[in-house]
Amino acid sequence: MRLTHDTVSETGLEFFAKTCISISHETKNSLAIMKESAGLVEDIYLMADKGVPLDTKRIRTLATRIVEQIRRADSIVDTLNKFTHSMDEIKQRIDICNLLALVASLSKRLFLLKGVTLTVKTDVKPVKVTTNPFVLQNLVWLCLNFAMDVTGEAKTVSIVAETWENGGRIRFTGLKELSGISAGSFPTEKEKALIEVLCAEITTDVEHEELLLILPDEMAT
Amino acid sequence: MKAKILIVDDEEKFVNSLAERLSIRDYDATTSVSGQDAIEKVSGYNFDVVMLDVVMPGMDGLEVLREIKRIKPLTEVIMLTALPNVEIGVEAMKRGALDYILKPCEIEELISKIDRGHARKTEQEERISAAEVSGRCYNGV
Repeated sequence: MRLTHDTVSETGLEFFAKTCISISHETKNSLAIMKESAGLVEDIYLMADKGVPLDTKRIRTLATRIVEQIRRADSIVDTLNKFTHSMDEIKQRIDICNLLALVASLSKRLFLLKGVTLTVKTDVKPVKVTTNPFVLQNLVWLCLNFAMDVTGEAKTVSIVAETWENGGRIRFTGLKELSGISAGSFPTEKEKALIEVLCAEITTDVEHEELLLILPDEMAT
Repeated sequence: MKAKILIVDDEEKFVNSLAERLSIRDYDATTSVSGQDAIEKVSGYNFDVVMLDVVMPGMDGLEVLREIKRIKPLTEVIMLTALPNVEIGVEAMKRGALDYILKPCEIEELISKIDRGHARKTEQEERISAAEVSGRCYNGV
């Protein structure tokens, strides 16, 4: 049990750190665009001071670009804020659909770098379970990392949240190369430790090229 | 003569704004939004300095750096990075990068590094040229 808790803590820290790196990286990129666009406006005004006619249309385009990047950075910070609030309480009643949307947003850059497209499909109705949101986000993130490597040529992963028996289920679909993975290579010790905490279950469905994460209505304390 | 620069970053709006700012300052600036495209551009043109983002989809900056140094060893490369990472910085230097700069950056700092890279490349080209001339003289050509 001690081993499981150590693994959960270490895996959680790794997830938190990698997510913060990715988010700060994306924020910096957005800030860099704002800085260069503002710098360009400054350059245009300096040229105007030297007698070059002021291109007002160009100024407007640059102002729009800066506003777009402010929106982008604002959205990134909102995502980070939601992510950190998921640790407010160890056990919460949550909608899995919202959690998947958040993890997808946190993983956006990771997917972009690997050239894989991620889509989130959810039930019209909320899929509610009582769970540890941070540990579940961590597990979904690890499953997505695994899924990205077994998509094959299609390079597309879909995550689907749905009501299942007394709880909820998350399907990771489009895993074309799932049959090629060696027995015992997934889930690893990390996923197994998180599964134990969440009282969840992971199975693979090679025929339908899916990974299934089944969650109880309420995880045991 | 001002330097011929290639700016490589997957953030298109960033490279475009930066290229325009450098062009205003009379630099010959070209842009690229992927590592593969950058390598093709470097193969076909004699850039003095390449400003290269470290983290990009597809080929990352370190892979692109290795390829640039293989095909155009004299072209100077300045790595662009959003976050300081000592390991990547050291690896980039080992692979022949001249320097690195953090985004967002001050244009004056960037220009100073570009000019240093340009001067170093020019000096190396002149040395090679002088060595070739003296070699021909020695061989009685």
